[in-house]
Amino acid sequence: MFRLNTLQKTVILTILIIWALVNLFPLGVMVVSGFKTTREIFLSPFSFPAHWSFKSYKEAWSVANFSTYFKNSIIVTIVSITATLFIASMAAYVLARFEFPGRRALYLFILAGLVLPVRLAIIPIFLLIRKLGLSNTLVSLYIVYTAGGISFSTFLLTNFFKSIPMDIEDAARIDGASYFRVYWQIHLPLLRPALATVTVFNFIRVWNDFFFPLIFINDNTKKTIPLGIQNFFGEYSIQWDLLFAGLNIAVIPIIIFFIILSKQFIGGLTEGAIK
Amino acid sequence: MKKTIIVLLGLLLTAGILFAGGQKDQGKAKAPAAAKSAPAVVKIWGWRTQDADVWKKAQEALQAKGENIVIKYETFVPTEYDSKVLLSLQGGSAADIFYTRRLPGARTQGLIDNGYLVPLNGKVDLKAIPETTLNSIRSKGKVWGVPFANQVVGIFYNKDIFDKYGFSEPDTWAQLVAISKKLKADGITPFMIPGKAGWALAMQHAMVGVSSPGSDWIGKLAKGEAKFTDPEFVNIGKRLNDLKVYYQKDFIANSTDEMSAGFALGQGAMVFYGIWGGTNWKKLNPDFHYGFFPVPVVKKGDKPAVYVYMDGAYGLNPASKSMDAALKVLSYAATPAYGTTFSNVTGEMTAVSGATLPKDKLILQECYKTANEMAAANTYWVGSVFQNGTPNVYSILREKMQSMYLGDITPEQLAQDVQDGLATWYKPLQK
Amino acid sequence: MTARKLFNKYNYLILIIPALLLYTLFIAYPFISSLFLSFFKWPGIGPKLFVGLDNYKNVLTGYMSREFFRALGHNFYFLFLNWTLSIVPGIILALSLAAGIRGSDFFKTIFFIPNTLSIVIVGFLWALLLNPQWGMINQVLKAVGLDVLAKAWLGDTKLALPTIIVITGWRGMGFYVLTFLAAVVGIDHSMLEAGRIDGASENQIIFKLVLPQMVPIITTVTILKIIWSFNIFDIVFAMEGTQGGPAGSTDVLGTLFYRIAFGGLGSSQVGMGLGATVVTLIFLIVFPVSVLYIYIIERRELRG
Repeated sequence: MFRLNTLQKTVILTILIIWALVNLFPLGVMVVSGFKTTREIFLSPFSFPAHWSFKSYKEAWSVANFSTYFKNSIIVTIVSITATLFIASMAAYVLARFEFPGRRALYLFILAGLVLPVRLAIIPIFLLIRKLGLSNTLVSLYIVYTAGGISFSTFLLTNFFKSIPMDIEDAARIDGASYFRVYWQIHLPLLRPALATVTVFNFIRVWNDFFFPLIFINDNTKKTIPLGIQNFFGEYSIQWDLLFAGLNIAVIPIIIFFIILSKQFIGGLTEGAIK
Repeated sequence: MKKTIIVLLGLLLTAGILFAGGQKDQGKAKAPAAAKSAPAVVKIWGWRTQDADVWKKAQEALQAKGENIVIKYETFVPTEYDSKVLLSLQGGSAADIFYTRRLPGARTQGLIDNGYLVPLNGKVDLKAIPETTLNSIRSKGKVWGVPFANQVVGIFYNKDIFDKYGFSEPDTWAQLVAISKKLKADGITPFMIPGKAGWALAMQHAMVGVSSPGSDWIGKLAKGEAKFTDPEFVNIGKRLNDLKVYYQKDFIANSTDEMSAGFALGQGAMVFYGIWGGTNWKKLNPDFHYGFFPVPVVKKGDKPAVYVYMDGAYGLNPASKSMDAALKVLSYAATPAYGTTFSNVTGEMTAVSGATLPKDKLILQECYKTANEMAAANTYWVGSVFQNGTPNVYSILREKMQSMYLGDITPEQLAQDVQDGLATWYKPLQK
Repeated sequence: MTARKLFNKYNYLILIIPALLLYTLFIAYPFISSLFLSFFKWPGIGPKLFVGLDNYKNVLTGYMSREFFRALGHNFYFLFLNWTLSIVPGIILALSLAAGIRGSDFFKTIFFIPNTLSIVIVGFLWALLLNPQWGMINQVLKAVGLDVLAKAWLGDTKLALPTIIVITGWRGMGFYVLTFLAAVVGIDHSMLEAGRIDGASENQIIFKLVLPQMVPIITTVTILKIIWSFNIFDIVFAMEGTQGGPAGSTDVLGTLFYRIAFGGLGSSQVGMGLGATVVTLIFLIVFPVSVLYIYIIERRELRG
């Protein structure tokens, strides 16, 4: 959208390439280090490994029980994101589209959740989960992750809802459609890019959290990836070859997931999800 | 686009389930071997990942004795472990046996005061554990856990480097400085110090203090007959501050892991650390030869001392549903046989006396001997009376040692800060 | 109005109930009850002892005050530097992406990847790269003859916090770039064309036409940054531990709260009440900003 001469274009391209390298470099180090020995990581940080071997990866995979953790993480992430999207978008629809007494107060009430560190409230949350008989279940994680995503998701989606022209909805309402149908059939499809954005943010949050599983989950079979990584850090704090291999196993799927979603997601952000 | 995502998620999910299935089968295969009737399951929680094999062997030993007990050991990250246990105990979902921290310490005291630990007197035979060790988990005249390890801290050195230069273990601080000087002149870093880990600096101060001015003086300190601002204490800081020219460059940015790597891979000749570090050094470099000596004294002829402390204990949950089995496990953990297993697996010093220490771990035997003969009776770091309030000596030292090394405060100021902080609550110092 | 009429008028509110229920039960209620702890002395176990405003006195004027205000200062510093390091490069990169150079989509994707990494991993990776002796950053600096710049990044009381802020900026940049890009792309092209017809240079177009249009998004991002800056915890924890070292030079309110309420590994007293006090104070600082935000947003809408 700007008119540039070749020199300017070159300068801009250079800026972009440099920043891309700054972004990728540490990741490259992480991937390559997974193939090195600990001695190589320490004493020759620049070089590539003398032997490229998958030994560390194999060992990390087998000792860390990552397969179970992966399954749990995937289930927890899918369930809680779906629930967050559904619940927060309905709330956002109401907050953005209707005027009723107390609307601002309600919005503020929900936004307050952006401000608070979750650790402070862990005791009452834990006791609540236990009263519901949900401790040591994945359901406890669905619930807290969904609840924890409401503030930010509603915030983003409310913003986005406001950018959708009102007349579409008025037309539908005149045709006698219920509010839920208007939301479900008209707004949700329009919201797709924004939903992609919200998905990615929640994905990052849920996929990386280790605090709730730590507190709620006791059985090894119900642990998630971040908890696995934490244990891994503790156990192999000094065996950096294994540590890096473990990190790569945990990190690469999320990057792939993001790259696949990135078109939708970037569409969501760049079509103005936030104003 | 949408399809791709669904297909990918589907694949991931399937893969996950398949892997999980595989794991389950392994579990099933093992199950029949355990016992015919349903075994009593004893759940144990701890922060030490290195103990997993210890418990496996303990279970084998118990089963060999005909006990129908299965031990399930779970670990949680050390920084979050206490929160996890505290919440789970109150929620009624904690393990039967859980690792507890030493006394004096607010965490464990809180558990005792609120009835979340079972006193073990009369329930577990603790004869094989020395009284001094039991004192670190004793409160209200009762013992609240089975101690598992004692830790010794002091100076560890790279034997190859010392041999190459013909150094022997120094007896005085002056000799230590002379060794450092020679090494530095030859381009070898004398000390690897983990300056980023404030706790390790606090520990360094404390282990220097038990040799000079020594345990007797610290005893006076505890009674209020001496002060932290006295020259004896100020001089510890001064000596360390003078020693820092022999540390690796920018040591204040190094973590304990980086220190361990540097030391084990031959980048530095000495470290101020604890016996537990050896496991990691050997993992990093199986050919690594290292030795141990107590921090040398200032005045020739004085007797050096080492800082020995009890690391932690196995506590019993009063809400345990397999109390009998749990008590059997604890009773076994208080026997020399268990101590032998513990030391062989972890390479650390079991708290049980009469255990057979592994022959291939000479350093362990040496430390064990040193710990028995040279342990300081009075100390001012963990396990001391100065830990009983807020702020405690540990929390002050770990920040102020960094400040001193960075040149922001003098050793005098360091001593003053400790004195002022502790005097807010420690009565004998308020005089 | 009868109940039925009321229901008919407001029945759309049913759609907000699930969110409200879940949020109130699992977020709002636990927090409110936790904030009340700030009037109690409680180590997380056993009976709670009512102490009135003692915790607030201890934090604001008593023995915790030095640490509290030092941490508060670091949070403000964090906000200021992090804001500068996100907004300015964010706009530059967004404008660069908007220029329509081939491969922009590729760059957009790359720029966001650091955001997907967990902070624990970001902290670990950068601590390794920044290691003073063998870390790559210093090795590179030394290799190109810039030995003076090879510092103990995380071990210097003056450099540690800026270093952590730069790393936070590194991880978060993608979000800001894409957000700003959205604003740039959303600008009416005909307005830019009109400017060109009037003889404006591309520089003038950027400074006089494009940037003013971005003020609203910058406001929103600033508000979010204020909220986030006072909740910083993970990155400091991952890189400098609970002490916010060296010598407390990176200690922020988040690590202070953690240390008081959870830290200690057994030897220190833990104070949930004192911790709750710190959080209440953070809340009192940040909440007015949220109110202001709603006010700004709604006024912007009224103006259309």
